Amino acid sequence: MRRESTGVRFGHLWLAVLLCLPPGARVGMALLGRHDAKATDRGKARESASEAQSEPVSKALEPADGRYRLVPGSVLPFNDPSGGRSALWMSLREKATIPVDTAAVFEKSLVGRVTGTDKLFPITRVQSLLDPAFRIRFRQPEREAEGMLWGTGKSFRGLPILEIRHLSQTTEFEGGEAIFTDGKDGLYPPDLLIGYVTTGGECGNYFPANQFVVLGAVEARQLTSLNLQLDLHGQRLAELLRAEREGGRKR
Amino acid sequence: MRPFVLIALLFAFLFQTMALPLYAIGPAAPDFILLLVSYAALHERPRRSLILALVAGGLADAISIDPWGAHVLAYSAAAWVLMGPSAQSWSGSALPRALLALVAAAAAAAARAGLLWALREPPALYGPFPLGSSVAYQGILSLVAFGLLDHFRPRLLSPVYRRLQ
Repeated sequence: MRRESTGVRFGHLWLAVLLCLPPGARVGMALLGRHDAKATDRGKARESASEAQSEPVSKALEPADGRYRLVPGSVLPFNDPSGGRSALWMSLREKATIPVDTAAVFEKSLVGRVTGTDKLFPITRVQSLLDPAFRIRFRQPEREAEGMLWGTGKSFRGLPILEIRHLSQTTEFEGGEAIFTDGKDGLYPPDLLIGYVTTGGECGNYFPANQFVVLGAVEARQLTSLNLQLDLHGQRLAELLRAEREGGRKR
Repeated sequence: MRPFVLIALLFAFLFQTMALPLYAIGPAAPDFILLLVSYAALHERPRRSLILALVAGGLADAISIDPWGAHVLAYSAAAWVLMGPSAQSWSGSALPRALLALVAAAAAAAARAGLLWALREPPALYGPFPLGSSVAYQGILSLVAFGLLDHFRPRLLSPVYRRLQ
C-alpha cells in the first residue's frame, strides 16, 4: 500500500480557503469606490448621448403598428460555463413561444439575441453582444453607413467592444456617434441602439489606436431585467409557412 | 457514481456558472468542472473517471451556447490524458500533479478548439493568448483545488480503488 503524500495538512486548509477567494472579488473590493465613481460618470454621459438619439429608438420600441410585443423577464444569476462565451439566462414573467434570434433589449438598447427557450419552463438563453460569435447588421443614419458588427469577447469597463466589418462605404466616424440596428436582416427590429463609435485607443489596447470600434451601450452583466422584442409578423409568417408545408405534405 | 461525487459535481457547476467572472483574470478563466474531472482521472479508476467526464461534459453542453459535444470532447480528452498509469504514478506529489492538471487543461482546450475550428466558429474563441493563459491559470488553481479535494478523497473515490492505492 502506498502512503498518500499529497494531502494538505489541516493547518494548511485555511490557507487554501483564503487562496480560494476569487481574485476578482479581492481586487474588486479594493477598487469599489473608484469603480462606482467611474460608473456614475459613464452613466451620465451615456444618458445624455442616448437622449439626443432617442427619437428613432423610441420609434423602434413603439408597438403602434402591432408588429412587436415586449415580453418582460428577469436575468438569472448564471453565466455560460464555457470560457470566452457570454450568455445570459432569463426567466420570463409570462409563458410565450420565443423564436430563436428574437432581440433582447434593455430600455432602448440591444443586449443580445435569443438562442433557445426551454419547452417546459419559461426560461430563455440570450447570447449577449460580448460573445465572440455575435453578428449583427448596423446602420449609422447621419453618415448613411451600413455594415456588420462582430462580437469580440473583449470589454472595456464592462461594456462590450464590437468590431466594425464589411462597411458599405469609406466613412470617417466621429467618437460618440450612435450605431443602430439596420433591420434589413429580418431578424432584429430597426433603430435599436447598439452602442457608440469610439477608437481602439480609447478602449484598452485590444485594437489599433486609430481603428474605429463600437462600444456597447449596456453592461449586460449588471442587468437584472430584460425585455424580449417578439416579432409578431415574423411569428405569423412562420406559422403560415408551416401550415403551407404541412398542407403540401398531406396533398 | 458515488453520491459525494455528484455533490462535488454540483458544487463545481455552481462555481462555474455563478462565480466564474469573479475568478477571471483578463482573458484567463478557470474551469472548475475540468478540475474535478482531472482530479478524478488522477485518483479514480479509468472507467469511472471517463464516465464522470462524459456526464459532466454532457451537462455542461446542455447549459452552454457552445456547440453540442464541445465539453464532452474536452473533458474526455483531459480524462484520457490523465488516466494512464504513467500519469497516475505521478499523482503522489503536489507539483507534478499541478503540471498534469495543466497538461489536461491543454488537452481539453485543444480538443474544444479543434471542434470549434471544424465547425467554423469564430477564431476569437480559441485564440492562442486566451487559451494559453487559461491553461496556465488552471494549472496554478489546481494546486489549491486538489489540496481541498484531498480532504474529501476517502468519500470521493471508490473503496476498492482506494485500497489499491
